[in-house]
Amino acid sequence: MEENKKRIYLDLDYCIGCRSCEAACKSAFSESRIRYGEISNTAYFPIACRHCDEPLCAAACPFEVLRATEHGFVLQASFHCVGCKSCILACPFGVLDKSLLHHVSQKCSECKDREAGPRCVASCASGALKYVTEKEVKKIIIGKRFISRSPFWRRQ
Amino acid sequence: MNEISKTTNTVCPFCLYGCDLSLNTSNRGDFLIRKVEYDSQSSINQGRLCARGNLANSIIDDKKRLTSPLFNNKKIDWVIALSQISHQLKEYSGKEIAITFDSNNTLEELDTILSFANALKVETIVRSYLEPETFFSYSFPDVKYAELKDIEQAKVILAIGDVFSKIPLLAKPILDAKYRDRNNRLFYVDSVKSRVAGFANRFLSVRPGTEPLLLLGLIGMIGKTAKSIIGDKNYNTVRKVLPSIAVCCGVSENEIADIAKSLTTLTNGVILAAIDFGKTDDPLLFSALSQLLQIVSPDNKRFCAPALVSLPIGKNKFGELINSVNQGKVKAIINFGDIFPDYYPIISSKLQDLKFFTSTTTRLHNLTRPNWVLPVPSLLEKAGTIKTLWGKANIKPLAKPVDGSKSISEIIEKIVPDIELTPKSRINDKIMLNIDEVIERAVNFLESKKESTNEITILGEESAFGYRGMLLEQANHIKINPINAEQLGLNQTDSLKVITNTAEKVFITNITNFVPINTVSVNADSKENRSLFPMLIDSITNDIIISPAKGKIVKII
Ligand code: SF4
Ligand code: SF4
Ligand code: SF4
Ligand code: SF4
Repeated sequence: MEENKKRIYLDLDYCIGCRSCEAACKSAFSESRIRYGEISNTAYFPIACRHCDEPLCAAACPFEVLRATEHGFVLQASFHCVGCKSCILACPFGVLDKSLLHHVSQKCSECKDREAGPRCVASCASGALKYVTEKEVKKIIIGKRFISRSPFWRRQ
Repeated sequence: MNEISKTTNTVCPFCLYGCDLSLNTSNRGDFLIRKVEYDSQSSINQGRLCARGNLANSIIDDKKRLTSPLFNNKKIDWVIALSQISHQLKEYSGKEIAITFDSNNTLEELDTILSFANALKVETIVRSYLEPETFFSYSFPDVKYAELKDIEQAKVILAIGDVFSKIPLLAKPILDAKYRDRNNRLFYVDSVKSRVAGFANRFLSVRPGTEPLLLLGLIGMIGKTAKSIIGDKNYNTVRKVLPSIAVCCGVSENEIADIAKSLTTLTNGVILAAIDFGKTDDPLLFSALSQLLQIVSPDNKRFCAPALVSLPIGKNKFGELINSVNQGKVKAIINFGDIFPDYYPIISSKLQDLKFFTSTTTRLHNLTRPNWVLPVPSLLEKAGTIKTLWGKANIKPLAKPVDGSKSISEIIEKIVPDIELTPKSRINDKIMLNIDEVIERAVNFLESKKESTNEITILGEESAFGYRGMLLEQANHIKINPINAEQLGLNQTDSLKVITNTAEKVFITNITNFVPINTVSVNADSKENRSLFPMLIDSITNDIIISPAKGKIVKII
């Protein structure tokens, strides 16, 4: 994994499950490419594409519509997508939504059309999503904040 | 193909937080592409937006935008519509006409509406935005309001109600404040466990509807400063009822005392109050006591009501209007707004016999319709001033007004030609509260809460991401406690029918510990769900009070 490659990270201590990230993606691409989940109503988190070094979604695509670029992004030439859903089944993180838009699977492009980077990160209401390199992420304390007496013993 | 791209900056008008909002419009041939931009330099929101702001482009391009006036549900030409309205209005005297307005108007438009009312000699001018949060316009003279920096620097934060879903953008300053020091405290009071609970140091789960009583309890526990401000007599009254407050709220006295102690000992703090539709029994008391709690708390505590309203809201007096319509005194209503009458099904049904009923709208609604419907631009297509938590802000149009719409002033000028604009007449911003009256009301409220019934309480919960149904998934879901589910033999995703005095609806069961026993909770953003809740006229203020509903739940086989 390239140390200087920026990726989308989530600081669970801040995510309030407001789904602004999803709304931002939906607003730009008509269908959201970032999914949203929750664990028994207690922890909320968006599921963003990892842009894997060895992307299984791309390996599964029969038409090479999905490809890893030399800069470490996994991009989709959506014009050629036939909507066979192979990538959806292949992604080990369940990032790709099974619903198609215009018969095309919805794959995160890391907002390549926007100079300033991912929209989901820019819009995150609580600043939980971060677009940083692996090196920088180590400097952010994640999951190690002060003990709370919350009902769920969260964020210990 | 030449592409012209333009970015417009404005202030998001959808809630009091007042985020900076930019929209990029590019032209590809005849095709307009609108994308929201995120300005990381902004001092208020650093580019962050909630779902409402994020979906600004889809609000402009909404497929349900109305593009032509309607008369009894049929399209009609603007010229004919306005001349007929103007003609028909002449049949009514000023006393027989009522003018209503909501938060889809700028301050300037509101002035125009008031001048219009003056020109027609209309006396009944009433707010048609009836959400319970408007009760925050009732206030005490010495409330100190929080600024953004007060929230960021707070040592103790008391959140009453689901503040995260009212304004998700508040989450960052609140959590920053909590994480800054291990002694900092975030308390949360609510009848259901919302997302705030997962972050709070302590979560006080009160019996549904009784939040105001807990606030009264806190005031009583605060001691010296409270005594000097509310007066010996009131203070003794509150002290006397402390035990029954705890019983009524279903919280132990110690727990209330703990929060009161933090409020007394820690400096710098914010009391954040948010009321949902159909969540609390007496929103006026909720508003009054949360503000009073700020006043009696020592050491630089501030108050913040992150409500959705961004207009001077005044007294709603809608109860008076309904009474006047029923007595035949008011025969015509002209509404300038978007929410009424659609979002208040119970009230609309009370107004069905009105002969003359005109309303502006930004999009086609489908419940009860007034006989005249006039399409107007949405706030995103207007220029003018709006109110935010941090002062007044100027909004700029992000797009051209939707085809076929006319602005409020164009409409008014056609109905009353040569109208004289009198910009000084402003709707009263605040209504002052009196401490003695509030305490008296609170004690009476306590009395009324003492007897408990076996009926099921139906609560409403709102969410910022449910905005206009765009990301709404849960409108058909109902939250129910496992114990109640067991009693009814319910499994997850079974069908459950809710019957209240006003309506009934079938939901999909969602069994969760996040609602207390004998309580179910439904999404209050959906219009159908809203019809389950009674809308009562408060006998003292004549405002509309939307409280939790009582009713029955039946398993559908
Ligand atoms: S879609 Fe899944 S497999 Fe493909 S790059 Fe993203 S995370 Fe990896
Ligand atoms: S990076 Fe862009 S495309 Fe990918 S999930 Fe975020 S908003 Fe969507
Ligand atoms: S916008 Fe941020 S806080 Fe909201 S759900 Fe997404 S990651 Fe969580
Ligand atoms: S928090 Fe309020 S002002 Fe900010 S984007 Fe959301 S609705 Fe608009």
